[in-house]
Amino acid sequence: MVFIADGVLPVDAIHARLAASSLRLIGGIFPGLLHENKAFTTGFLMIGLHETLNVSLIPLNNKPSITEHIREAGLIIERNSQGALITFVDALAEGKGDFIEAMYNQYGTTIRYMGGGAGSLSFQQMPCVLSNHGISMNSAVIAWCKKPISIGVAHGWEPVSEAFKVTEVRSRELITLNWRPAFEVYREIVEAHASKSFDAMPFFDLAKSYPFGKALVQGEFVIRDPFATNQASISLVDEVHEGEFLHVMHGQKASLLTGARAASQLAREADQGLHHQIFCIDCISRSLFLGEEFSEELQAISNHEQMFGILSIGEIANTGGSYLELFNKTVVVARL
Amino acid sequence: MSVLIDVFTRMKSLDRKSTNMERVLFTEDFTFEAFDAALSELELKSSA
Repeated sequence: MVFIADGVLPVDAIHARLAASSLRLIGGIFPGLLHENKAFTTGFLMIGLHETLNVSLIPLNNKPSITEHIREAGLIIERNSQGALITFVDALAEGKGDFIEAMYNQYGTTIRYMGGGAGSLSFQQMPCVLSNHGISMNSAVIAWCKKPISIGVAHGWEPVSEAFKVTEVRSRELITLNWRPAFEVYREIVEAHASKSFDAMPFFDLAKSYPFGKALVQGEFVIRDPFATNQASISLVDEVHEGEFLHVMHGQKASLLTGARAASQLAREADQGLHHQIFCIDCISRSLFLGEEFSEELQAISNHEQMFGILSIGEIANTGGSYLELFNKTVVVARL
Repeated sequence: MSVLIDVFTRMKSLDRKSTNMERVLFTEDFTFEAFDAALSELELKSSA
């Protein structure tokens, strides 16, 4: 697994090196790296695994070909095994949602998944998915890891509003909630709760504490991260769909740390002492939200064990038993 | 050349046995020398 921190890189030179390597490579360029329980925004991290992965690059240009490419990947998945499907995807690829759906349709609910969204915090799309094909844009990589991986997922955000129906959405642009301009609805809730005004600060400075939560049947929430507005609609990191219900969520340092500890604990319980190393996929926006105190989140996850990982733009996980989701502002802890 | 940290060499033998990770290589300063060295290290281990 190869992870490079986002920065001004001569992409061509890295591309050639990856394409020439005899290793089977999977990875991406991410806003941050985690190494021995610390976060970095520079450098690279390479993790060699005991097994050789069969890695496939999936172009995400159009929906029918995504399904076809996933079928052609020919991953030999062992149902009900302790292994996991590892995936990294261009976070800004239009076909990302279709990719998750196609992967779920192909491989189903009984296996474990872990992965994350690659790319730059600038939200400018760029080549960011690493494989033996080099560095690719608008793509995803998938591989089946046979050896056991235990996964925990949690976030720590809590609802502070009633549910609003998504009445108009265009891809990741949330147009209306309850038939009203989305920003108007969002602004009312957030400004009343925070006692602060969007007029007095950049949108993300306040919005980073108030993501949306998509309500699931089992009472849990999948977080959607708002990152920009045109004063009418709101741009989200990942898609929502018309007819879904969104709550405005809020978190504080304590609740996020509780979420981080919960993810770590879930992975530990599933692992039953098998592994002592942690691979963590933590959302970059949690580190932006917590700032200097992000180190406390890393401590809460690692709990004095060795931890490596990435700071991602969206997280992908399923512990084997529910619909595969793309998360935002969430922690995925894997023990492997 | 930037310093390439090889975590594996510092792992206790018990930890080495209890992980799917065979090698963990990291540097905070990206250089192509370090990148090539890390790839070579993993290739060497892989072919051993």
